[in-house]
Amino acid sequence: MLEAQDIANSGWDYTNSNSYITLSMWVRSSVAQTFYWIAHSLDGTAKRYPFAVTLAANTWTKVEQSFPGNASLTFDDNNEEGLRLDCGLYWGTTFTTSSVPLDQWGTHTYSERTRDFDATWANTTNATFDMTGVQLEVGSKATPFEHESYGQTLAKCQRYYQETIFTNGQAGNSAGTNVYGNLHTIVSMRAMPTVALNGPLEVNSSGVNTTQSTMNIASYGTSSVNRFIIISNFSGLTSGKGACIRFNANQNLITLSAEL
Amino acid sequence: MITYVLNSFENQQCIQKYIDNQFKGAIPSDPTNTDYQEYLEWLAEGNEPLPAD
Repeated sequence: MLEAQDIANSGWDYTNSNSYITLSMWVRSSVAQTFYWIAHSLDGTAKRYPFAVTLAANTWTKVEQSFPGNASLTFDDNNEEGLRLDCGLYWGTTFTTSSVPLDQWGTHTYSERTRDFDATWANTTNATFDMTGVQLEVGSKATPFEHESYGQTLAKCQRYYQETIFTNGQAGNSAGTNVYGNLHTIVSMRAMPTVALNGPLEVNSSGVNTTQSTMNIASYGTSSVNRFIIISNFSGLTSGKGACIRFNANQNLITLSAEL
Repeated sequence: MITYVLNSFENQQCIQKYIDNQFKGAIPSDPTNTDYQEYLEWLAEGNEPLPAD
């Protein structure tokens, strides 16, 4: 999935049939089969471009597929999903039709996403599929994969998902059950994030450790960088006292999600 | 079963999602957040969120 603004501002003249973007990757399937994948645009009238990928068993193969522009394509300049590359290993005939033409743009419909699949891979016990070196670039030819540092790729991923152990806050209500605090995201996220927990948190306040009886967190604010949070379902806290979330035995965390 | 609870703090709203009474997350009122989009679809089906305790 790609944000629409990243396609709109990529330099691809996407309404011009003489302008291209190119997808490249290395793939390996444990089962020989032809897979029918699609590029799928989501803004305006949804369009799809089906193409075939034929693989021999257990053989690393470089896939290169170019997509021309089309007068009916639309990509908004915003942070919502604009282009999806569906590299499916099997779709049932609820979603496919044998007559879907390959290598051309057409209107995306629920039942005609791509051509009917052979189910060989899907019906093979313990079948595997590997994919690496995925790159999408402007132009009609694939260039060598552009390697990034681990940190660069991690920061890109953090635009969509982060985990944190929020450190300092304050016991915030007279009932002694809530902790108030502020979250600052590691990088600016795509949208205001959904804030959740992957387990009950433990807090230390006034030298006493206490764990949430059940998971609960509320999040407020209008920013994708800063969130005011209220973590509840503690007991015995004293309002106004400092509070620190601790790593507990299960290393439970606060999760922030702004996925497409 | 999916349910949503509306919480508020100083005139701001937070939507909390539950599945089978298990807390799943605090959703912001951001039209580009996909969880919020899912919440709006749930409302459009005629469902109503619960008030906070």
